Amino acid sequence: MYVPVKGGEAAIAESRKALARARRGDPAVPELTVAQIREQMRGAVDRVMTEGALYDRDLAALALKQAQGDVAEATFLLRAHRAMLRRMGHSEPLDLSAIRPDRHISATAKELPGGQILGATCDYTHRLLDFSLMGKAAPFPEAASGLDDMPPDFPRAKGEEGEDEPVDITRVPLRPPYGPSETLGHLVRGEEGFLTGLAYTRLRTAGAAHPYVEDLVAGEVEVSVALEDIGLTVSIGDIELTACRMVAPVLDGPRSHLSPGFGVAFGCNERKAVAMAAVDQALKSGLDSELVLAHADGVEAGGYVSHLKLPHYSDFQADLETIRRLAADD
Amino acid sequence: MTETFAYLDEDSKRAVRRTILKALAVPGYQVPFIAPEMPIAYGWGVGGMVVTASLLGADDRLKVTDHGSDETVNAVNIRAFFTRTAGIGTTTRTREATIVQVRQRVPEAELVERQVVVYQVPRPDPLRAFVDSAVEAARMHAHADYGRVYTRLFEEKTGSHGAVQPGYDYPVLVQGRYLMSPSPVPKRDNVRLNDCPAIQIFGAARERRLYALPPYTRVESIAFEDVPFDPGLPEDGRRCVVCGCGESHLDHLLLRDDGMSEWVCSDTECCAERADA
Amino acid sequence: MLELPPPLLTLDGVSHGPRTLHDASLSLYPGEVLCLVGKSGAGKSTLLRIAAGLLPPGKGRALLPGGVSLYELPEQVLVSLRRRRFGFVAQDAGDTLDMAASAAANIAQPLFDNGERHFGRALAAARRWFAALDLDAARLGDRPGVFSGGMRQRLQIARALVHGPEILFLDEPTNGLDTAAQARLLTLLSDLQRCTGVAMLLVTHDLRIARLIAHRVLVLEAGGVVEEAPPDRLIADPRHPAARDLVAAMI
Repeated sequence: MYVPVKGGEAAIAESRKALARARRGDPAVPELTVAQIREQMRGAVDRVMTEGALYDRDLAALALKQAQGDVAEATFLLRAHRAMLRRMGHSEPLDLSAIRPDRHISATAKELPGGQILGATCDYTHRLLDFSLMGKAAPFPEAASGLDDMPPDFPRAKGEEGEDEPVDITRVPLRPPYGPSETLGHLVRGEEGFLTGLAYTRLRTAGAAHPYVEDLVAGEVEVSVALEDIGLTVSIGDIELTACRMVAPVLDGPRSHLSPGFGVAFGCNERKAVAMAAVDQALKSGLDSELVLAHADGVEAGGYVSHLKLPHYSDFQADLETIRRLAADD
Repeated sequence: MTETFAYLDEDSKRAVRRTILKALAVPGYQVPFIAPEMPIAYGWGVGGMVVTASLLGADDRLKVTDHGSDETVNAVNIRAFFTRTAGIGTTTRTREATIVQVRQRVPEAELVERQVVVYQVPRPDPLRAFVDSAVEAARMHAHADYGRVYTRLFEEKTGSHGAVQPGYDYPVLVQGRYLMSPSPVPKRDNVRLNDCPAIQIFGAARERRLYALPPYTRVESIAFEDVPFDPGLPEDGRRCVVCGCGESHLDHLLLRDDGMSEWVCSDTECCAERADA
Repeated sequence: MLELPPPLLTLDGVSHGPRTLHDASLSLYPGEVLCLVGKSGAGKSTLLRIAAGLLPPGKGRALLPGGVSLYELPEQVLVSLRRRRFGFVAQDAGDTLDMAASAAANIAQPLFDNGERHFGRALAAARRWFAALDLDAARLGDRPGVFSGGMRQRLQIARALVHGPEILFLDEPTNGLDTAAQARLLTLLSDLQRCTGVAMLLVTHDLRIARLIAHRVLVLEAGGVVEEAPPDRLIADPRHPAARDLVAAMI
């Protein structure tokens, strides 16, 4: 007699063991430390912090280690962890004009206050595999002197205004119409590839305005919290982030103007910040908010797509029978 | 970090319970709700798990099925999650359970008043098959503006292209008012939703919607006044290879070398009882 | 003197946009066919859409019997009123027909929108209107895409009349049809109007069409109503330059 799909418990236990083995790889190779990931896999760590919506380099690195470097899975782990944390409140709006930049460029202004700073960018590397990194000790290049003395005098890069209290999108169900902080929240947590793809389709869409990077900055900025009980605003530390301001021309007779877009990400993550700014601008110019905000979340999208692996006996059977019935009618 | 009972913190549970009360007060209406993120992927039953987590008490006994089976990997995984996080007792017998979390089936066993059935729902709004906009769908629900649904049904019977409602997730009308997705259960299961003594709660985490049916709610599959609902029962005389039952919902098991299909009961509990009898 | 019944619909000094329409007024009486005629850009379609409850005017009011102001109604009341009492035929059939649904479903939809839940009645109505518009009953299940242009317009008309509206709005319904198909459609419309008594507000740029079907014609020019007359009088004796242009264009 056939017993359908029994023994799930044992199978799951074995599967978990197999996963642990796969994670460890060849035991002859030393195990990665979380510190190594945190320091040397910065791109992945920053992305996981951004989409995971939790600024914690160690936990993001741990998530990456646990997820075998799978950014989407690591993001999911960080999100699930975040859901168990108590919400203390919200910070004051970040003053992006006070960012201490490691990088600062503009595609619209030749002269930026403080000058254009390339900083650590892949933009001007030749994308050739660097076989010297195969070896053990890559040399540690010294920074040119003087960079630290740049005046932190940047035009104010603001987000949206007009809301007293930001909407916590993890606590308020998504429902149109979408306010500015809600939109921002969904876009920041939005999956980088999805936003990049959207920005790209938008660039190739006839009639859509071509946006310009007006200001792209990466660096450290102070986070402050207002303590209402004692009437003080105190600094709780610095975070690294990347912010992008974008503008796109909207040509409409006497109402012609530049339409803004804003993107931001934890750490150093320009692709995300630029894509997000382009999408934000597109949303202000009529791109369907529901389409973007309801589909941008990588954890939700990944979960739903992966659920296709679950058994679908009943509905598949029903579809099959419908097909048979219709085909027989012909 | 210590986990709280049934994983969710008490504030989140309270928020979900408030949503459940609202949903019970307006049967079939999709209440927006905050589904706290769970360590299980969206699409894998988070909506049901959030509801279950918010309802579980230390004395509860939980039954979890997927496609009617207690033993599928997904059902086992969800059950194990609550055993680990809440230390509650579980069961495979419906009559022993206080909460039954299901995916893609309505339990075939008799349900009673003290029980709660929790459904996992992927697409909570049946109107999204007709309109792309959530705003428009909300307007249609608000005014019970369901003409398009009946047009589709009409199309099914008159169109030469055979546009058809699928044989699962077939929309129902609750108390003659709200159009509701029964979740992707086979069409024939719809009749079991009607006049059910148990509370039925439907959680859609990814879509942030929750709706419910209080005990003994009138639930009708959409149909014309003069053309009764067709539950889509198979007519090929198929029987379960385990218990021999021809009336329960059967899953396709395999195609034999002689070209004949073998079928097996989807509801493992009822199948085992019949086989033992 | 014969007393006129109160109008079914009155537009009272409606304007739209900076230039599209300014201070236009009209009254439509029961059983009447009123044509809005003018060259392209005169504001005809805008006026029609305002009258049909589809476009709120910038200024002015649309009034129903009893002084009910159309655009001061709650949105859903307006929607249901439109569905019950109006029918709309667009220049392009794709604007009102669902190209993915069968002809029968397209015709029956207004019934379902108005609460019909009986299959047999809806099907009988679809059949009846199919026959009334000279369409082949064997094609009830076909999608609009496989019908000819003239037949698609007839499908639209069937759909616009199936629920027994008081007013039928038509926007250049014969555009893009050859002369024979135009004549056929207009004859059908006239017959249907006589049978059902529905009032019609019809937009056209062609006075020949107005002559065939209208009881009364309003001439529009640059967003305003410039002349009003029965078609024969207008054609025989156009007074406004815009009306004279339209008459000249008939030849």
